[in-house]
This record gives sequence, structure tokens and C-alpha cells, in this order.
Amino acid sequence: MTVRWEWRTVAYYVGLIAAVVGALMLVPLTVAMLSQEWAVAVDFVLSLSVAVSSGCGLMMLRPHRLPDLSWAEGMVIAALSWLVATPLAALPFWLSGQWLSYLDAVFDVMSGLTTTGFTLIQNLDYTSNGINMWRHFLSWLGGQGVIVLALTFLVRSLPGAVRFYFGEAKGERLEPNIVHTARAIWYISLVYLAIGWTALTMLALRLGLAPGRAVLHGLWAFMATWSTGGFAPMAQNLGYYHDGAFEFAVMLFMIVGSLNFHLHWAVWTRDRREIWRNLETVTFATTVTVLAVLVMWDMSRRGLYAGTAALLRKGYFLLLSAHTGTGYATVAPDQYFGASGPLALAAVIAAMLLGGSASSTSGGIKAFRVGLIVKSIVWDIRRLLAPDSAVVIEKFHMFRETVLDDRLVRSALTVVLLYVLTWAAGTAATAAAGYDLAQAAFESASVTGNVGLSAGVTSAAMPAWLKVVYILQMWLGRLEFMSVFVLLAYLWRGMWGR
Amino acid sequence: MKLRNGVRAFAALCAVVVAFAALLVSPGSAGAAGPVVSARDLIADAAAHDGAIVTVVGEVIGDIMHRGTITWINVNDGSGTIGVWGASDLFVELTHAGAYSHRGDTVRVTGTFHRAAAAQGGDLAIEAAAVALVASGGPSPRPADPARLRLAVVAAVIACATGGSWLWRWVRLRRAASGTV
Repeated sequence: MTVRWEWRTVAYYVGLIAAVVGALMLVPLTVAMLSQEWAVAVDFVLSLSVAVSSGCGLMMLRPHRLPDLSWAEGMVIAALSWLVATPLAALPFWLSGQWLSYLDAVFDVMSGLTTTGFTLIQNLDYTSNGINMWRHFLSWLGGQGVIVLALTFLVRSLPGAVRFYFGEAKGERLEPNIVHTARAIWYISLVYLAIGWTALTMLALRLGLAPGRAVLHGLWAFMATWSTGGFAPMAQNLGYYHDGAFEFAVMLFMIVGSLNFHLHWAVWTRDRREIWRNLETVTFATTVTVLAVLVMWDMSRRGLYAGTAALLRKGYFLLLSAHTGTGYATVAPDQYFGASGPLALAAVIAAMLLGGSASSTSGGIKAFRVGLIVKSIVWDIRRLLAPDSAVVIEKFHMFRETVLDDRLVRSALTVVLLYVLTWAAGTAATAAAGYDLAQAAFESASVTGNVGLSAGVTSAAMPAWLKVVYILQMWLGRLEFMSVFVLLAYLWRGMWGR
Repeated sequence: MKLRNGVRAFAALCAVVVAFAALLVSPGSAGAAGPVVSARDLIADAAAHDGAIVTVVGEVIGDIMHRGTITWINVNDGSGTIGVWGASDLFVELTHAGAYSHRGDTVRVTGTFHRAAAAQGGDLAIEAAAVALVASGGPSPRPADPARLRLAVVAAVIACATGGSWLWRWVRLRRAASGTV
């Protein structure tokens, strides 16, 4: 009785997410119709209909009274929603014929929703506006979180909403009420959308794009930057535009996108000094600076780029793109992977694994955890140096002064360990597929950290099983493991009754 | 008979001379412009080609980006895409860039290849000395498939029916919860 009730509740919410995915397709459908891309519009109508039908079908299973969700159910819904949303969102891609298989289309949707930015699309330069809109929209939505969207508009009275909000690795509440938090996230995103879209459109006009294309490219570039997704409408990625000002604006939005939503909210609503005191921002600024200096020094030493402008546009941009998890590139993989030295590559790999801030659109280990671990090392050293009778307290500032304790450090170390294990497993899998170890380590770090920079491994020609491994890696990296583990435990319990 | 053969031989000779002359005056002729290199080779082996005069033949994609005195285009030759910049008057003949429903102009670009052009912030690109229009682009319509259109209509009807059923059930549940039924 209990198990059946749980499944019906979970089915209801998963169906809700499926129906939302269908409704969201109205956006690219509109763009396709305005662009007079009728074949694409038909594909979106077909896909939308399948998503709405299956979503409403699942929602019919709803029990008469929706019970409060347990933590486990919240986590399961978060994890399952991604698994249901992904194949549905892949339908328009598959129907377009630009992906060689349905698996490739699913790969790109997972890449978009997890804000990774890898793509297996064919003939990207000849992609319709409708499909490009869907790619970038998915990435933008993925940055806020699929669940956050549902929370904002659809489950305002849900007592257990907080459960699946946390299930999607959005750990900090901006407001005491979780639904208000979700709305605040959307408020922040929409304000930046207005600013970023306008700025990038103006820059695109300045660099010679026709007005209609400038508006679309400005929108897509902002969506992929803010979400730290890294999709681009052209095969040369950001290198297509050949413009320093455009790249500089993108760098600013990459940094903004990788900051904690809570930090944005704090700075907007009460305390501007928070940005300088916050453990996470200080850690992020430190690691970006150190790693960027290493990359630029190595590139300069090898004579790859001469002059400050070139080093900033190629070296600093690459490092920042890797660290924020955006994955934008202004140079081809042959140039940054093939030509850079081991020091620069190691720095980029480290940056990809470290990632941006917690509760942001970035993936990776997150600066907060890195800062906590550094603090705990300092704490240990201070304890060793202090007299035996002394009680040594270490504090850190993250929106408030907090005393560091072993529980926090253990939690941070667990996630770091899981990230490193996932990276190692991905590296081993890639190497087993026949790629060299350096390539495998680079690509696996990029997948695990939801970055999207490639060493040349990710392509439609890679083995299908490796695509599946990468899909799982992207999913695990985005949800930060716990939701997926709870889902597996839930399935285990369902199958074996334990 | 002899006269006819003589006329044929003369015509063939004229054709050969005209073809040879056309090759000589062509701006992209191999002798004057350096070897035709694929974009893929230029990108993959950039250091080896750095500073060389190269020729690339391919389709202009995306946009023809006029920026005052200079213009940027991106050329796709089937193996990859490479950026090309040069004085704007080199690009005046170009009008079409390839996109979803357009074929771009096919061009023959000759110029200096830069692995990291200092004047362009380190971009890997060709600094054009000559740009010749090989073939004009134009619209490339992509109509909807009628069979898929029929399928979409059927799916939309099913979606409306399922959505309607759910809405009806939801309204009933709401009424039951508020005690109006």
C-alpha cells in the first residue's frame, strides 16, 4: 500500500515535469514559425504533443490527496525528472535529422540541461533558428534547474517542495520560503537576461551581424554564457565572431553566471560587502588568478601567443571558461589541447574539476568546498601548534560567520572524493576506448565538471557505450551524486523490498 | 571533308587557348596564389603553415561582417571552417552567407595564413589578399514533409484530448477538495 502510494506521487511530479518540457517547446516553435522554418515547426508540434500526452498520462496517476514528500522522494523526483525530461526534449533534435542517432540527440539534451556544452550535432553552421533556440533555451533552463522552474509556477502549495529543490543540488535558500527562493532565482536570471541580451545584441550589431541575426545571436550567447553552458550557434564556437569586445563581455557574464544565486541576492538586497568577504568568492578569485597566470605563462613561454591582448583573449579566456564550467572556446581544440604544454593543460584540467560556486549555474566541485578544505587544513595546523589544553576554533564567512566543524569538512570531502572517482572512472573508460591518457583525462574532467571543452574525443564517431558513460557522468556531476544514489537505493528497495 | 576537319581543329585550338588564358587571368590561379589547402589542415597543422601564402576554396557561412575598413567572413570548405579578414573592398562581390535555408557564395580566398594574428588578438585566420567569387549562393528552401505534418496533427489532437482529460480531472479534484461537489 505504502509503496504504491509513493510511486503514484512520484509519477505525478515526473509527469508534471514532462508536461512542462512540452509547454517549453512553444518557445522554439514560435521562433521557427517567425523564421518561416515550417519543417522545423512541424517537428516541434509533434514533439510537444508527445511530451504533453505522456506528461498528462502520468499526472492522471495522481492520488486524491497529494501527501507531503519525504527527503528520499524529493531526491528521487529530482533525479527521475532529468531522466524523463531528457529523452522527451531530444525528440525535436532527432526529428531534425542533424543528429546521427537518437542517442546522439539525448547526449546533446543532457549536455544542455547539465550546462555542459558538448555537442554531437552535424552541420551546426546550417542549423535552423528553431533548433538553435531549443539548444540554448535548454542550456539556460538547465542553469536554473528543471525543478526550480516547476517549483516557481506549479507547486506553490507543496509542503515538501524543499525536498526536491535540494535534490537538484541547489543547496542555499535565498528566502525562508523555498518557492520564494525559486522565484528569486528566476528574478535574478531574468534581470541579467535583459541586461546581457541587450549588451550582446549591441555588440553583435557592432561587429557586423544583420539586425535579426544580432538579436538571436545576442540572446543565444547570453543564455549559454549565463548558464555556463557553452553552446554556440556556429561550429567555431565563440571564435566565429573574431571580436575582443564580444569576448570580454562574455567573460564578464561567465563570471557573473558562476557566482552563487544567494550572493547575487545578498548583494542586491542588503550587503554589497558580502562579495569581498564571502569564502566562496575569495576562493574562486584566488584559484582563477593562480591557474590563469600558470596558463598564460606557459603559453607565453612556448611562444603560442605574443602580447597581452592575445594572451588574455586566448589564455585567460580559456582558463576562465574552464573554471566557470562554460566551455566556450575562442580557439580550436588542436590549438589549446594539441599545442599547449603539460603545465597549461594540468591547470585547465584542475580548473574544470574545481568549477564555480555552489547554488550557481556552474558544475564542478565548487569553490565553497575547496575553501572549506583549505580552511580545515589551516585549522589542523593551528591545532597542532596550539597547547594541548587550548580550544582552537576556525570560522569562515559565507553570508554569516560560521564555525567550522568536522561534519562540514567531511561532507565537502565526500563530494570531492566522488568527483575525483567519477573523473578517474571516466578517464579509464575513455582510455579503454582507445584514446591516449592525456586526452582521456582532459575530456573526463570536462564531462564531470559540466564544462564542454574538448580534447577531440567527443564526436558522433566515438563509441556508443562511451556516449552513455558521458551521459551518466554529466548527470552525476550536475546532481552532485546524492540524488542519484537515493534514486538507485529507491529502485533497489522497490525491486527487493529492502 | 578536309575543310570541316580543319574548322574543327581550329575550334578546338581556340577552346584550348581560351581555357588557358582564363586560367592565367583567374585571380585564384595556382601559380600566383599558392597551394589550395584545406581548412582542416590549416587548423590541425597551424605552426607549419604560419606565414605562408595559401588558397582556400569554400562557402561563406553565417554572416559577411563588415566592420568599416575591414570585413570578416568565415569559410567552410567541407573539412572545417576558417576565418578570413581583409580590406572591405575585397568582399564587395559577396552577398550570400550560408545558413539553414540559404546557400552561401562559394569563394576562392588567397592570403597569408596566421596561426595567431597579432593584429587580431591572436586569432587563427587568413589575411586575404584576393577574394574571388566562384559561384553565387541563394535560397535553399526546406518544405515540410506532408506525411510528418499529418502525423503532427494526429499527435496534437491526442495531446489536446489527454490534456483536456487531465484538466477535467483536476477541476473535479479541486471541487471535491473545496467541498462544492
